[in-house]
Amino acid sequence: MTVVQFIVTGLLVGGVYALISSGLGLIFGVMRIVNFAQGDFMMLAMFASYLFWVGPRINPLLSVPIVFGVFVLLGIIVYRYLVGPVAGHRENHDAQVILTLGVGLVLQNVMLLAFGSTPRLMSIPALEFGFNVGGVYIDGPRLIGFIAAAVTATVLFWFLRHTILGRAIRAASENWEAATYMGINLRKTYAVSFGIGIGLTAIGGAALSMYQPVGPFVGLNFTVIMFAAVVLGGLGSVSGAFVGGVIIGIVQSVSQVWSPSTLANVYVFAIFLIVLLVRPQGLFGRKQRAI
Amino acid sequence: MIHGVTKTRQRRNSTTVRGVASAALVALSLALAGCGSTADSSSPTSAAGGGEVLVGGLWPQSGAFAFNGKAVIAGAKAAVEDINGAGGIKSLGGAKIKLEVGDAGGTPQTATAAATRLVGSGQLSAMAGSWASALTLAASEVTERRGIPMVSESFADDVTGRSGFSHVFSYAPPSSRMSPLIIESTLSALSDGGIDVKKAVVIGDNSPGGTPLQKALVADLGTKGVDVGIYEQWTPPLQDASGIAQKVGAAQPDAIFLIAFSFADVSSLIKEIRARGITAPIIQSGGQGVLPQWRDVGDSVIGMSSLIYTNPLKKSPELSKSIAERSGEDYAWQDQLGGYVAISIIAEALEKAASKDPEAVNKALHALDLSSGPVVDLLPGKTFKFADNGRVDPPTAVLAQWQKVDGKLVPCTVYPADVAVCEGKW
Repeated sequence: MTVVQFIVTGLLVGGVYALISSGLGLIFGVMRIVNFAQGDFMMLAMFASYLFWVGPRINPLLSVPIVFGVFVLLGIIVYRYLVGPVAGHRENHDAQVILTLGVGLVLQNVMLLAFGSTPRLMSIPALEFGFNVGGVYIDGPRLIGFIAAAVTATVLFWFLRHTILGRAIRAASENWEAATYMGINLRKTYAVSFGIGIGLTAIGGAALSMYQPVGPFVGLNFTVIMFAAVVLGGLGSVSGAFVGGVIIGIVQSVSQVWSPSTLANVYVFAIFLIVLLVRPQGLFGRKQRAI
Repeated sequence: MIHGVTKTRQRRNSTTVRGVASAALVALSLALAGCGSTADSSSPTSAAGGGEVLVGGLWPQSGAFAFNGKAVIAGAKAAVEDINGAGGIKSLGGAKIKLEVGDAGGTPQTATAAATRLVGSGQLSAMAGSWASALTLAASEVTERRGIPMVSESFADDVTGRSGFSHVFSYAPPSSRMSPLIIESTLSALSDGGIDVKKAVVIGDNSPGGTPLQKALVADLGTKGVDVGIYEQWTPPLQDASGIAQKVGAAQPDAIFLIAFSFADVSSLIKEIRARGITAPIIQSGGQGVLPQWRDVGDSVIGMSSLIYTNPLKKSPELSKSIAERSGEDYAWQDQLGGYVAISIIAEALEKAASKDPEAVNKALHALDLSSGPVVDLLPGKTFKFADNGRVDPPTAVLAQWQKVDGKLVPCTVYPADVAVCEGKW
């Protein structure tokens, strides 16, 4: 029963990891941009949820649509005025890395100035619940986070496969030159992709804020998880990022059955290294990167 | 000695006098305040007349500890206000304390740089600071070289008694004494509450500050016949607390000793533990356990306790309240009280030394032996003095427990009984 309990817990936690990682996966898959500020956008979304709660008392679950919309817009603006001009259509990795690291540092310090360094934890009675199913404890906020991840994944994959914009994003991901020849406006497609990528991570941030304290540096704690999930699942594969996030959650949790919690991430990176040795493109990645 | 400062605030602008006349006036004014002072009869009579006494206050105002540092500064400023309002340092002809505040930042490097700037004027009589042990250790390297006494609230053993150091003092108990203090206070308080602790768990982060205390607790609990169900650590930051909460629940402990220093880690873990219906008392160590941010956690924080060097006590409710009000908070916690204590200790030493010379103040700090006044009022001991190594002797601490008092969540002192404000609820 103990193992089942830890698997279930890991699955639920992994759902939220999947959400925060999928945005990074989408941005890399479409634009080959390694966004080191992704964790800080997540932090910003956590603060947004926090402010919605302490202000108009809108709980994070209900604020998700607003947070998603605001962050898609924010992502588009950031791409239009910062990332786009630096990245261009070509892979300009050095400038991208410096820029996104800089954006992350600015976001952290702005929030530090505005809110101080002490983390804040929301106490939302409606979300503080849990129940037992056959002796397995299901934590309410994590279950909500997992459901949010599942719903978001479903909507995202439907969007990517069945809408014109989604197909344009996939085409740009497959081959940007060919997509240009087919009349796809790459600048617009990239901006929307970047916005959606930030929006996906923002949903993850909102879900995380239900049980994780909010502080200016919280993004750093999850950046490693995001990158590990994206690389594990396969660079450029959004579905891979989802699966990678879930695997990391399960490994982190189940490893605690037989070893100290201190070593949880050691197991994650051991599996990460093994997967990369056996399948360098990641679990769902293709040698020619695509979403 | 400085007594009843709040009562004597109206007596400002003391006459500047020298020699025997100064000592006589000090004795007279203290007698009028009804404090029964005896210390000034032994004070040197060579007072440097009036003016200002510069005291450095080096606490973090930026970086990870800024919140705590600012709270300490608020307390220190309240002390300066009270002391100066009561006539200043009487043995120095009513000299007013001027607090020169520096920002220790968040790293030893920033603390060293700020300490160097503060002592650069060559006018400091003493320094107080710097909250975090790592910052105090760094800053005290600078003050020691300049022969300036430094009064600290830091716990780390090495803060005081280092070889070649004779100018560093701490009014907080040393880390090595924390384990016996926690066990003594907790087991007694729980026993009073009808809980016989047979099984406990020790959990915490694997930081350099936390690990020695956790290991000492595991060993000391064993010697007391308490079975330590699990001893579990994590590497901060804790990405997800559910695994550890699961293990704690499986151990079914009578008490949970939680030794970690990140509010984010501890608060999420406590929420997880309580969400699983685990109601065992949670005992922490250190000031982060009484921060107002815990109110955000809601009622699940009720019953959580922390061992700290001080908290509002039964013997000084008015002073604690006054410090809280002047800090802009509705209760004072360890940090503001500590700031007030630090400046009051230095003021007592200045009074005793009757000199602004740092060496004389250092000598007075070593010889300090107080039985009344704000320092004794705000700390749990009945008297106050430093041991030869500069550490408070004997080391004392209180157990503060989050309770709802008058409808508000506050960390209320529940142990020891003679200074407790609330009854422990377990």
